[in-house]
Amino acid sequence: MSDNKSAVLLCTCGKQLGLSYNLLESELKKNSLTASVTVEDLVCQEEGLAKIGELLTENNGHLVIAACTSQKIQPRIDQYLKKKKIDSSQIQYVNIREHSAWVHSDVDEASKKSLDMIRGTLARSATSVPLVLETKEITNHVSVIGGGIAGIESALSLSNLGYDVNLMEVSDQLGGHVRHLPIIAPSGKPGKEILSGRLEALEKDAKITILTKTRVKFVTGEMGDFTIHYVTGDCDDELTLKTSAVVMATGFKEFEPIGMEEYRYGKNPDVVTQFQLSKMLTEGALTRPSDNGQVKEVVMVQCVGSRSEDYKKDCSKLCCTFAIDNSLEILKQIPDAKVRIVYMDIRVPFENEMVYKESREVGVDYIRGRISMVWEQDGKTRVKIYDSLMDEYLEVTSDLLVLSAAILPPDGTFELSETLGYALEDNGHIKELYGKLRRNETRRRGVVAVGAVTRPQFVSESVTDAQAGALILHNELQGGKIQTIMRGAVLNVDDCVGCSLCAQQCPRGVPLMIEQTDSEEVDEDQKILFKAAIDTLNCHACGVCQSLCPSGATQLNFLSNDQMWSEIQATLEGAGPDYPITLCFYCEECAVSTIDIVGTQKMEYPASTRFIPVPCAGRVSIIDILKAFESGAGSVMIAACETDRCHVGGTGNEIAQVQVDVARDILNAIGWKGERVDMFRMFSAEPERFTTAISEMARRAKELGPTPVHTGTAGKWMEVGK
Amino acid sequence: MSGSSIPKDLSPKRKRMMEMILALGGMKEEQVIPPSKVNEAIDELKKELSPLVDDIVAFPDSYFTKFLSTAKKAEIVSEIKNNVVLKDAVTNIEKTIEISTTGALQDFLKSLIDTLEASESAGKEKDVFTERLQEATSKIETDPETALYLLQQNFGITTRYGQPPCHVECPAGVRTQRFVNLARDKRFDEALKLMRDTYPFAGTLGRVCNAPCESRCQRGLIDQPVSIRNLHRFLADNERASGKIHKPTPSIDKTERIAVIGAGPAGIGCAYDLARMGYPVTIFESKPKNGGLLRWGIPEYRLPRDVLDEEISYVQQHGVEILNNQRIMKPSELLTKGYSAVFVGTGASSSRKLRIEGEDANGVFHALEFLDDINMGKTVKLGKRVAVIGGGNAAIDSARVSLRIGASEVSIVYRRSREEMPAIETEIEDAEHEGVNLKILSSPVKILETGGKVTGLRCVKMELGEPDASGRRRPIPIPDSEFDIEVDSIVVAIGQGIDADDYFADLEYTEWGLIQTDKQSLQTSVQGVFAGGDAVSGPATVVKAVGAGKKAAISIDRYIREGIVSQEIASPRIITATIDTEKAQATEERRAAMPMLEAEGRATTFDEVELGFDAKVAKIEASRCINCSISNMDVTVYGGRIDPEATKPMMKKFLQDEVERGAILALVREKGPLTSKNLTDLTGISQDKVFLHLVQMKRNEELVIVGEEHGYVLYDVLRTPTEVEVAIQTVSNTVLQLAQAKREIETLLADLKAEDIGKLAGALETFSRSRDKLTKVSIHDSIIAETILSKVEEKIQAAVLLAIRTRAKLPSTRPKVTVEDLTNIDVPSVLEEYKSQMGYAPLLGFGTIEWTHSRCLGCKSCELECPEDAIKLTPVLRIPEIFAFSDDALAELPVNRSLFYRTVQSLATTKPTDNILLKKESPGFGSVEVDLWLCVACRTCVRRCPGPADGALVLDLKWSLPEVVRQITSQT
Repeated sequence: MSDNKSAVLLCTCGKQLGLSYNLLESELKKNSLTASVTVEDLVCQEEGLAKIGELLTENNGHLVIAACTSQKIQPRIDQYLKKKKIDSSQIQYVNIREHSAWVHSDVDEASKKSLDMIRGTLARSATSVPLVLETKEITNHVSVIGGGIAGIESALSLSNLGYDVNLMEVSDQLGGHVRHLPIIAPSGKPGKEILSGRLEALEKDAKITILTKTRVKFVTGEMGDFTIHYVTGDCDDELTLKTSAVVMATGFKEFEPIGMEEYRYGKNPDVVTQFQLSKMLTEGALTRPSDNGQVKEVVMVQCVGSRSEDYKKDCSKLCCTFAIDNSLEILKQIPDAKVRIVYMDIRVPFENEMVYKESREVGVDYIRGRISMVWEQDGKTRVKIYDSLMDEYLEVTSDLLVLSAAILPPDGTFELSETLGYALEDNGHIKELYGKLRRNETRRRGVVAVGAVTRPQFVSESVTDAQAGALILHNELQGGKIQTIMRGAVLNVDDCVGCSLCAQQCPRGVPLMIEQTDSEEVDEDQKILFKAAIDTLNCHACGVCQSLCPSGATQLNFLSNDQMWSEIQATLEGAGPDYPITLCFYCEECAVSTIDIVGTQKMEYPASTRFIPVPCAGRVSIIDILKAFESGAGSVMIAACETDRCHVGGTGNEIAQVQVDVARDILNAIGWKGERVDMFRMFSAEPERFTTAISEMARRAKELGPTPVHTGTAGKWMEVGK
Repeated sequence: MSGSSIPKDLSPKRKRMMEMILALGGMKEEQVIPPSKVNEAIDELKKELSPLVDDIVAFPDSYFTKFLSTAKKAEIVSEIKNNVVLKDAVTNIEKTIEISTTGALQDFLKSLIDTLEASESAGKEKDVFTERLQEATSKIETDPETALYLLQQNFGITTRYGQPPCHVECPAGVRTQRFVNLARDKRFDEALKLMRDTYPFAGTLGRVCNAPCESRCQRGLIDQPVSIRNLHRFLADNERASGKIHKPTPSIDKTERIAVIGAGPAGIGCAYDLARMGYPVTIFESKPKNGGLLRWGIPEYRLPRDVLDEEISYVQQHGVEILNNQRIMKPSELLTKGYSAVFVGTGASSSRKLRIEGEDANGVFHALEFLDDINMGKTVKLGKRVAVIGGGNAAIDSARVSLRIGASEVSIVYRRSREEMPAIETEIEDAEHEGVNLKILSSPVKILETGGKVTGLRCVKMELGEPDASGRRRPIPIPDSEFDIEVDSIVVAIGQGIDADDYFADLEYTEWGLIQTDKQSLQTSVQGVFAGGDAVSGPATVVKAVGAGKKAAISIDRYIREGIVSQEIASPRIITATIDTEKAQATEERRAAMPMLEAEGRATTFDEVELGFDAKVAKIEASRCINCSISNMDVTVYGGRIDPEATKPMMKKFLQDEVERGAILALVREKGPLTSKNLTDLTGISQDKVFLHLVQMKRNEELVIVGEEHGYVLYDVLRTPTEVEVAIQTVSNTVLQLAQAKREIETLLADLKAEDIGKLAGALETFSRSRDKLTKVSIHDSIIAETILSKVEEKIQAAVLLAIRTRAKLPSTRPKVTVEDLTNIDVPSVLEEYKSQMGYAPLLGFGTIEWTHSRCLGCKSCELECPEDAIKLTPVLRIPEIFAFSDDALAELPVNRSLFYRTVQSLATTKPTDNILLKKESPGFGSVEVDLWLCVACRTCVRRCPGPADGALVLDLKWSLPEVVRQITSQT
């Protein structure tokens, strides 16, 4: 038996489809790619399913099932075959019910269309390869970068879930910012108390290795097999560590207002930041830094560097609460001190409102306005405050001027993003995959971000985050077995020319460009050569890389260029000047459900239409479109998801649009009618939109008449020129 | 060349950059371009500039002279009301005069300063404005309503406090906004109850009212008014449809009996209110059926009789007795027959006569009698061709009725234009749809007759003159424009009056033949006898009649309880709410259309034409109300009822705030920008409150901040600068810039050095920019000194170009560097140095970049990697070139790329001649373009290009400066 032949299984859907099965059977038997033709009444029932198993084994997995929509039938078949341990990955589906019999009342026309589509699918099936779901045994090891409250909590949670954990902290002590906070709203407990239980647990926990004074330089590899390159202690030598997943818990950095001259920070020792004050308050009696004198008057300034066009544009969320916490602590230590908080708006979320009230009761003075001047006079710091509510200027002496500086993403977040592959927000924080449903996940599988590194977060929020992050990883790693995705892009590195189009346009940022360098000393004139690398764990199998690749180096393993082109050719075999065919590529996300609904509602549209499924509209390249015309299509359409609703991650349909637009322009330029190709977008349940679109394209095919391919003028331009 | 050798231990990249800097000029410059050459270039520049410069530097003076004379002639300075503009202009001109004195400018400055001082001192005088404002503000604490009223009347301050205009406008005083709100919340029963608190005619007036409320509806300012009348009607219809018609229980608890003469809208309206006050009321009606003109004057297709009957019977259920066929001759006699008071509401029910020849002919009808007869069921012998004379509702009704009783050709003859027809607009439209012709601006002069029978109507054409007392433009006959219309019948519908036979002997009448009453109390010349409605006002609307009846009821009650009728009932000060339409949050729905019977066929039946809303439409329509009055929102936005007691204190605060803000706004509007301190002084409102108001008003975008004065922020209303203000602003700004630039040019040219050429170019560019700005300045719509400006345009451009070219030619204008300087110097800082001296981005490395199309993959790698952003993949498909690719070139390409090109070729029927401009950046397609001004020849793009063989890019380094300059200049 020839290996490119496939069995065909035709389903009559309980003998209720208006198709001429005799014609299908006899015509298909003539096809050189057909191994056998079987007609079943109900493929989805036990008998039919058994037949599938039988045909698969007989034909090395090459099977074309022409039945109802694969959306309905495929899960059932997959489930059945999985139980029987038969590989179903090569089965190709043709929808002759919703896409043909139910929408065209003319039996001859519907049969003709079904036959064409089955013929096309046979061509696709001829070169299909078995796809294997690979599982990989990995070590139960996770690394947590950052030893603040979020990192500690993640480490403990992961250890409880059964993982060995490396907790890596850049400073010499665990605890991060929390260690230095005198009071934490709303609990009112000092930071040390909040940490103490957790630190004890850490110490007792044999599964957690703590590495302090450790800085991560970069990370290589993918989920299940990351290698962390780091330096530790006072030694500069780079060490490595194997781990299966990474938790980014690097917290935040307080903005240093050195550039803001007006506050005299860095010039006057009595001007400190809010976090520096926290540290002073936890370290002993509060004194004036300049001369260790008594602190009686404190002025705090909010929003230093936050909500500012020049620095950080948005609110830093935490600083109001920090300032209030600190002012309460000051009044606890020095009851007769005068604390003034100069603010724009006080923003204390959650129950933190209670501390705000408390602070008002104990006499913290809130002044709405800004500081207009800070200067030193007779050894004292003088502050001029503009009170915008009273429209007055106040001049006060301050023993301590505290700046509530903005909360920024920590150093190194950007540097690590290059090798860890997570995306960043505009403000430098780590971007979560989807704010609503996929929080804490990053663009890279196996890397989660928890705590303030994603946005300013309170202690309680960071703790919840940390636990959530641990659970997400547990979901991916559980049992120490991870699964690679069966369907995806495969890269043939030898063919890669290094153009980086795939890396630029992949909706998921999967391909990475790796520089090909042999030696350290690179000659300045030598070519900079890159090659792509595809992390199959992250691939969503949309095919954008394939449609853009100039060399065919990356291709989807279930829909190679050859498969696609031979399918186009075979589907359009019957096309000609007398029978203008509209070829429709539809994405298997929104478009397929809409087209299926059209079928279930039995809405008629012209039968001169043929369908080819693609995983995402972005898979359709300009060559595919041109090939369709070359094979005789009268018009070509792409049915895709709505703008901004691309299901593979946002840009697949935009890439498709580019291909269509360019194809159109080119067709116009070479003496064709550009309207022959168009793209239509639709939500998943918009039957009218689809029927209008396809009727329009069928109309165009008819009205624009035979194409140059039909009339034999295509490619004759040179004669014209001469 | 000593010291110019390059140290060997530098990194290759840095080394190359240094080579470039050296090549660029630096120490080699003297050798590349000898000083003599430099001087030559400068001399040449000077020579070429000299014929231009004089004209250029002279042009501002001639322009300003012209401007000043125009300004003086047009007296534009006095037109400027905005002191800020004046002050800025003064400052600019003062600075200019410091640089160069011109007599004309001095004069101008003086006139500016005078105007400024005059306007400032004017502000200090006590004027009517201040007095009026103080009168209002002094009442803030004691009587804020009056204060707000005064502000609204005197200063046009708008407020959302007060009565909604729809309510203010309703003669019967329907609580319009409240019932619309209730309808919106589907509380239809409550809404109807609220309406019945005012009058019993929801169904009737919901059909026939001329809806003055809608004419004032604030929603109408945004799109179209809320369909208030149709909502009335819906509420009544809704109750009828539900079958659960409200049954009132009479609450007659007083003994004083009251007589009402006439069961029309005025009489019934009066009786309804009196009965609800507890008085036993008897209505005497001379006709067998009730309703007055509602019944006799309005056709059934507009007002079904069962609706009218039910609503009158609803009044009767309150204990009102109606005696039909009772003609009263002397109202005062009723006072002796056991009635304590009498209300006369007999209306004006006879048609006015045309008073032209032939009016007595057979075939002439008068509208009221005509409609009356038809409504009574009598047969009217009407011809096929009918002319209806008049433009009111009766005329329209007559015309439409004529169609319904068999006329085939109906025209309405009206002497003014269509816009002035007093009939309800939709009624006119409906009539037209049914086939009625409108002959506007035509006035009948004679009815033509043969043998006593109408045969036609002679009319004269009219044109519109000045508006008359009614505000409508008075029609004037056009001489010799008579024309005849052939008709069989004529219906005269030019108005109504009281028939001489109907006068009451015991009452006094006005010279217009209407009952004389006291305006406030509606008491007639006979004590205890009151009158209202058309009999008093002359023909008016139904809703006005109802309103008059209601007003009389109050007077009668007072007369009975207190025995007297106060002659003076102070008219309440009504604050009318208004809304800022810009800020109104109006939902998008259009006004609901009234469902109608099909026009075809309906003209032959008396079935009701308008079909009424359903509950869904009514709710949507009611939700279009934008609640312009917040004091009247009885229902919250969530549909909950508001306890008026709870809102009272809130309202008081709101009211005071409104007054204070109104006063602030009036002041700022009048006096120009003010500070919180000014406002405190002027209004007496405490500064903290003023401040709060200002902040709020700023947030509401009612005020803007325009500057600062003595440490206080200046607030102003948003003023669109007038043409004159724009002119003064622009001119006073440019005069200063030009004076500075002129001085600079003169100084530089006196002794031109190579390093100053950048500055010279800059100063010349200032001239160029200022000239362009001045071409946009106009006074009273004409550009000033256009010829002066256009004459100098070319010269300025030529001069700028000369300076820039010379600057490019002379490397000696670039900074000199030595190798020692360079070894440790930061490259970017050198670049900065270049930029400040040259005025443009530096030429560091230079060369040309060749792009081989057939090798390009469109991957954008070069663009992404270029450190200087000098290279771009532009969305241009050079498709003709694609057809010229050789087979070898195609064979070189990656497989899919060449397949793409080959497929295009194999499909083509024509060989394209033009490039394709793509709409947007398209990955994989486009042409590479290099901006050599930015390129530093670092070769990154060349090294990165992945194209086949050596890639698509070749950088050719050029070491000869002039050649590069030539290349670059030819490119731009």
